[in-house]
Amino acid sequence: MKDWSRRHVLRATAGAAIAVPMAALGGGLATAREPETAAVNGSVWSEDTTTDVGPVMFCIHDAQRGEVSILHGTNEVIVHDRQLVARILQAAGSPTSVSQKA
Amino acid sequence: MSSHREAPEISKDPVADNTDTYAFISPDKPDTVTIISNYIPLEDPAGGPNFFEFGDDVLYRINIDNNGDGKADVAYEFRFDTKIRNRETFLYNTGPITSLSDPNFNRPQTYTVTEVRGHRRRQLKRDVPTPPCNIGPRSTPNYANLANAAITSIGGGISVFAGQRLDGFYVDLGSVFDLAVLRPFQNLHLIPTPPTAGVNALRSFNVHTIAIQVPIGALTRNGKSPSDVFDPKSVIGVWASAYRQQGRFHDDKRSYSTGAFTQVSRLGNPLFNEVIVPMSRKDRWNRLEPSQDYQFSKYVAQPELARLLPVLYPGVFPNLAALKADRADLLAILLTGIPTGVIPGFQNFTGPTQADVLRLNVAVPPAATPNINGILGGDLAGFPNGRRVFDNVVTIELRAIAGQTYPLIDKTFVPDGAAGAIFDVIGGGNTPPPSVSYLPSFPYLDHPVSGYNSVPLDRSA
Repeated sequence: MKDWSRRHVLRATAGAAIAVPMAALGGGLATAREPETAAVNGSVWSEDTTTDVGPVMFCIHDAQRGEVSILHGTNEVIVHDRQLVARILQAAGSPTSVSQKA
Repeated sequence: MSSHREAPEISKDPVADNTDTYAFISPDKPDTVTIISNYIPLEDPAGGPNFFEFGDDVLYRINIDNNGDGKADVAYEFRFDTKIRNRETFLYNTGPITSLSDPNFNRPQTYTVTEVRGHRRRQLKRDVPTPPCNIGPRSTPNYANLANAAITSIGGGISVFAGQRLDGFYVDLGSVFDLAVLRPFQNLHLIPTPPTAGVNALRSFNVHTIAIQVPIGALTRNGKSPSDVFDPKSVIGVWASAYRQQGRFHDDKRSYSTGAFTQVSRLGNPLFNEVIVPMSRKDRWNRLEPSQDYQFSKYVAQPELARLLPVLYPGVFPNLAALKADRADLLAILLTGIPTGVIPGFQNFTGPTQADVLRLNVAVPPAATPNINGILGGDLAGFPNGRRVFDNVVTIELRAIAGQTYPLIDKTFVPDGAAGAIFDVIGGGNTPPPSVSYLPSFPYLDHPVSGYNSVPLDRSA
């Protein structure tokens, strides 16, 4: 497993298309899920990348678990952080925040 | 079909849809193994102006397991890159294409080959050219020369080819999926129709081929080229797979993919996902590696088609209807390999791990006179010992499912006469249908049909 620190994740995502308020980030766990095949460097293609680290996507498959899947380059990084999920949902205008349900 | 459009999700993603995988000892270079994986099912040769090509955003992979655990020990990855030479025209070619570097070829595609051994990755070659699609006598006037120029040696005794080919697989698709009609005895079907000859539904369709020819010793467990058929190290397992990145984004300003590559298609034995795995689990199967195939063994042990045949052909398959035991013959052929002692002079057993891979015993030399029915036809160099481009795999598998191979594990079982009378498409004999043809040397699959010369399918009947 690639040892991605939470700081590393935040640095990589700073300034990316998805705005995540830095103050919202509490103590979460970040782990990287290795691709099912070995990653291929430079496989991201883009006509207009928004940052010098390439585009970054967030996916929240299950808000109740506070799990955020971060797609970057040829990696997926899993962050467990309920506060982060709550802020993302809030920013997305979700009528239901994870903190209210948790 | 072998695996053309075999699962709901991948049927909507043709460039990642693996249609056939082949693995065999190269007949003209018997110190090498040739592995072929095809993509993009049912290419209409006239399908321009945006003719067919590999996906730049797809990771294509050929996998070799040499220790029987259903996981890749050696893999070859292929990544493609497409350029547009003239951005001001809609044309695929702006004149005759006479060489791979011809400026008239407006959309050239190149690729990079990477070898993966465990955690070690090594780029073998980049900017390898692919030929254009076969357009017609004005656009691609000497197609064979163009295509042959794309056969590339990449060092280490390895050759590669990637590009359009005539689909060498043959199947009476319209018949099989019309409630399992087996021409020519459709008059015996529950819903009978008059007897007619079989039809190769893939005639005149092309595919996109990735082919690699590798020295045997580069693939075996101990790095040697074995000569003992009964040495476990003589057997390798082969499958192909395709991957897409997890995230895809599109808006009016940008389009990109990001995230880890995740498997969306795979193929070992022909027809496994197509006719063994239930529809509700086909997409799941495509995401897994062969080491996980124990999850699907119950569908091999009790195949749905074996239960359907006696129902659809009343009174034709009485012995198959009475066969209730698990199909140990099919479990061996498709999931573990055939152990020593079952077929004289042969084994391709890889151990207890159930995995859908093509098992090739590399110590079996190419046949001087091949039989397209492979081992069922007495030819130990043919399917299910790997798979050659001309092997009659639909007939072989239909006969096996109908019970013809069950005596391998139960000598008292007598197959129904109909099981041995199944001849998909070809109607018997040892010759593939006239609509397919092959090359005597790498990449063995023939040049594609051109768009100009292709004939639209007959709408009659």
